Amino acid sequence: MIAPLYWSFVTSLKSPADAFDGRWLLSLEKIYWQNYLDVVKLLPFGRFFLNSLFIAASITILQVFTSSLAAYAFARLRFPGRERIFLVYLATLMVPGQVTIIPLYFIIKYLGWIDQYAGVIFPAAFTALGTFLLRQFFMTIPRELEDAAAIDGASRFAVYWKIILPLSLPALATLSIFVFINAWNDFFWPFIVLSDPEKLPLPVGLTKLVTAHASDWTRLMAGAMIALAPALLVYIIFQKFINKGIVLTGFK
Amino acid sequence: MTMRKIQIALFAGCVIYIVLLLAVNENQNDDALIFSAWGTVEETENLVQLVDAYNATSPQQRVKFVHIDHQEYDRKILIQTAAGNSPDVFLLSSTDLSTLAYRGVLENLSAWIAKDTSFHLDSFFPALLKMATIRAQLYGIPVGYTPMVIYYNRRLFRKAGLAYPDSAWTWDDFLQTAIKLTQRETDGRTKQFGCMISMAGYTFVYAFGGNFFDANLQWCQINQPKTLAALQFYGDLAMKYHVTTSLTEKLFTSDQGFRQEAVAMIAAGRWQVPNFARTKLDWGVAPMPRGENASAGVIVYNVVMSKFSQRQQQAWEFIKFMASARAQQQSIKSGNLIPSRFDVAGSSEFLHDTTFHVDNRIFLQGVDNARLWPLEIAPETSYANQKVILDEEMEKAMLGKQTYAVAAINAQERINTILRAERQQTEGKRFWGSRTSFLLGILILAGITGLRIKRRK
Repeated sequence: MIAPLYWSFVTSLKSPADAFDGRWLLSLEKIYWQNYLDVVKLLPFGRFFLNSLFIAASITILQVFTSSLAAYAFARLRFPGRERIFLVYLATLMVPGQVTIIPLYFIIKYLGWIDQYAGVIFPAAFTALGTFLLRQFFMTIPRELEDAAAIDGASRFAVYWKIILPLSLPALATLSIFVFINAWNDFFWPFIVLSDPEKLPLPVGLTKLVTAHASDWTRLMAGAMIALAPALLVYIIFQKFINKGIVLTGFK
Repeated sequence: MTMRKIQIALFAGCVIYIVLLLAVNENQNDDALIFSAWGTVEETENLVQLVDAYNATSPQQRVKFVHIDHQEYDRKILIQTAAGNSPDVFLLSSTDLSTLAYRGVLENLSAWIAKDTSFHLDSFFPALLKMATIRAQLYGIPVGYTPMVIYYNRRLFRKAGLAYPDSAWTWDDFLQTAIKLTQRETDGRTKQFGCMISMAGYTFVYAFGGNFFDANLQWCQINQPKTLAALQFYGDLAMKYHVTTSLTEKLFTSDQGFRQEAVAMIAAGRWQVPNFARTKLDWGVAPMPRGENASAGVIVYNVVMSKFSQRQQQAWEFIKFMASARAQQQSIKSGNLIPSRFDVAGSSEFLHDTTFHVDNRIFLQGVDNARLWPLEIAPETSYANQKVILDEEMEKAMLGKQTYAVAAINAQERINTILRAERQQTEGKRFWGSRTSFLLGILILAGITGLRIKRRK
């Protein structure tokens, strides 16, 4: 994993003429920062970056919120057909994304969300995977804590908000990190929905450095390095949560 | 803060956030015509300038350029079309054009040309127009093309004591040159390959006088001596003469190998001219070697109109502008494409353009006998499937798992089977959608009802 990443980094610091010279080490005087400057100059990179940040953060907040609400309902509330509904909800995980693209696109078009942030954010705001993950975690929390809160007069929402969520921070953090990284790297759906250059996220915007038969490798790698940085930073900062979350939830 | 206040704050926050998200809706009423194309920033810069020039001349009919990534270009256009919001006008290569025309996505431009006396096709290379013609109807106007040419490394030629190739060189000259340019280490490994021509697709077969299909592009006919000889020649470059990488030792793309000076000659299109111009390589361009005939494999770039565009008249006006001599003259400096109009291609501005220090006349050779890149194939919806079958069978032959004759027979049989099935299906659809089938249905229904009434009686 390190080798391709390192190769990308070294290539991003080479001049186009040296892109394929096969060297893995660069002397200081050979470092070509121009690729980074070109990427920022050629593309509205700052705008792409902000778009990615806005989209990824929105998806993360909404998805974690909706997943935790649904997970709490499936884990604790008693209503007729709960298990069956949960199974049907889980079954949506088995449907390949390609099957739902066109119906989803129709819905987005009907709602007037084509080429809108909402068209990218809302379809990703509800997932069975997040619900399943959090439900499994919520079920490990002792019921006695909730019962005690209920005796003290706490409402259902108060139990969810004051008891369940604080006790589920590792699972919520793990889900948030994975959702953020996925949303940050997501290419296909934003590519299909968004066309306005002002609204494109980084992975879609970077395709402007790729052409049909020959790519601008050094600039592309510079762009990829900048795009990679936030996801890498999130991973490094929250590594503890990720490890803990994987142990607690079995989620990878 | 009480729980009640937290709940209200949370609810209000969500509502404000969602309202703000939905409020970013400024382009909904934008009535501009949408024009889409792929390419890098530099490649599309010329298109953006053309759009600006058009907008300056007709401010009432504003055009907006929207970039789409090449890798998923067709897919996005098909999804947009299915939902009824495809770009009004878009750029399309000839291979994709046939697929989309068969799927009913493209507007037939022949009708528009017939009723517009201000537009003529006389100045376009006929071979390029032919590639945008499906069942005698024109679905796109070529705005440029690129032939496959040979890029060679001058330094490696000088080092090997070889003369630079000229327009008269043959495939045999090419092979001898490649042999001399191939260098091996003492342990037998190749350190410098003479050539890599995989990018030329299958179009080299045409130079040998071969074909993959019959003259009407109806049925696959690979199993013929000249086609087999050409394919054998290509396979021998790797397996017999070892002057190019074999499928099992493909360490790099031709572009990468050429830049690393690990390959001395490669086949590629015009797009490499601006790319190589930015390197330190000492490179030159030669036409594809001659065989029995001097045909060139070309990629043609057409402007097409969506059949579902709500602004078709406006789209037609823009297509006319993009196809005009003025627009093609303006595109010369970008260096990406060769003009599709011979009045522009033959102009001194193009022939003597020195922006990239290449002889532009080389790119015009063989255009009169141009053949579709990567190969001419039955222009059905199964275009991609047909090519995959051919690739699979040829790959087995290149790996020595079967002879080229067997590969040709297998590919021919498999391709013709899917074409047969597809045509039968189309015929079936035509029948069930026809008036005869409707009347037949009514008669059957009347018969059944009549029988029932009779039984009841």
